[in-house]
Amino acid sequence: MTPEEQQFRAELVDLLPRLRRFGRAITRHREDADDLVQAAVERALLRRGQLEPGTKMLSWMFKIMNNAWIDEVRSRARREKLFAPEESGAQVGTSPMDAHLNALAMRKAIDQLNDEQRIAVGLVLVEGLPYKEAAEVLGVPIGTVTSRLARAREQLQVLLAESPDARRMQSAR
Amino acid sequence: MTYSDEMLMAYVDRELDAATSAAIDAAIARDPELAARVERQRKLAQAVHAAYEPILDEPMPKRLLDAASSSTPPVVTTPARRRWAWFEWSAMAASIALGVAIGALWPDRGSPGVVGEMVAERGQLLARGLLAHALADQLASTQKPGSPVRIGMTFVSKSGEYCRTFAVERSSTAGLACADSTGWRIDVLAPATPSDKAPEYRTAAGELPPAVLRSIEERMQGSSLDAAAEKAAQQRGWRR
Repeated sequence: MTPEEQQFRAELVDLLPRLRRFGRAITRHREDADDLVQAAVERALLRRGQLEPGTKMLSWMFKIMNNAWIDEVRSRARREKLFAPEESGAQVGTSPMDAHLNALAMRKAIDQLNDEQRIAVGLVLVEGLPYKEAAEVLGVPIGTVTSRLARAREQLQVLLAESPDARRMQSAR
Repeated sequence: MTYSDEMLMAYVDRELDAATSAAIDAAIARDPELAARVERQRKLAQAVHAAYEPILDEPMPKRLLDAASSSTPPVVTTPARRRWAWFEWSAMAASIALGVAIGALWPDRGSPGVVGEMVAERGQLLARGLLAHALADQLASTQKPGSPVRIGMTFVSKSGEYCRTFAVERSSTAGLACADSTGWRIDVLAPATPSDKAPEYRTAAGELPPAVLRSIEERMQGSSLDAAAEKAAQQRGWRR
């Protein structure tokens, strides 16, 4: 292994926790998130030469994950056409389990956002990327990121207000 | 001046220029209602961030560490070799009895590592002999019935390699091999699904064990190669 590769791998290892967190936000499932991180790490190692100097490795990894996830969503859509009966009815209930606006309730609300909004939330609010970097990861103009974020937040306010526990909390006041 | 929610969101996210940001600071000081709107935006952003924060402290799965940091000693010949993915075996349905599969493939225990058409090297299984030749040269569209190795489908994996499914008649095994810089790495291997039909009547998919089919689903990027694309890839030596 060359020193450059060693360095590259060491940086990848350091980024793993954040890649997993972003993966969880966009895939909504632990196993899917870890599969996605693994696939992205493998891709990154194969395409190490394509990381242009000056590009932040974290953003680059998010981009690889985003693209891999879009591929996966498409192939699942294909599969679900074939196996729809098995999948239907497996939807988990959405009522928050806790009386607080806790992490679980929030994640469930975020899970209900559409893919575009959820990914924007993952990049900016979960991972703290500036809008500009998020736009670069997604390959869209900054204005698009801004409007996805704004819609996502409106939607989250509504979802959180609608959740039975939030209502209970309000009526208890 | 009234501020849109979008503007307040950008303010909370520190995305506004200094002048606009200062103007909002001043407006908040004068306007309790505006202050409350900003506070709602800020709380929401903080709650979203906090909801995912604990994930950073979760124990890191070994498979991810392994994928990122090669835990095997440096390999002299090649870049980044993926080690044979044992975890995938265990994650696959219990229907594959790995021990049975490998045992059946390992007729001569006196010479560990060599399994006829395959050789185990540094934790990977690599194609050799007839299998290696078939993977490199044989086209699904032109192969003859009764070939010792039958090639099924060819596709590009998510990690950008050409992968091909195969079935070896003699050892009744089938699997998936992917081309890396050193040759054909066997990522999945399983006992071939018994079929009561004569070999030439089995369909390419029908003869593949479920473990192999699942691994295709997991790895395939796009769709499988058609005859022309398969031939073109073969002529390029399976390099992309």
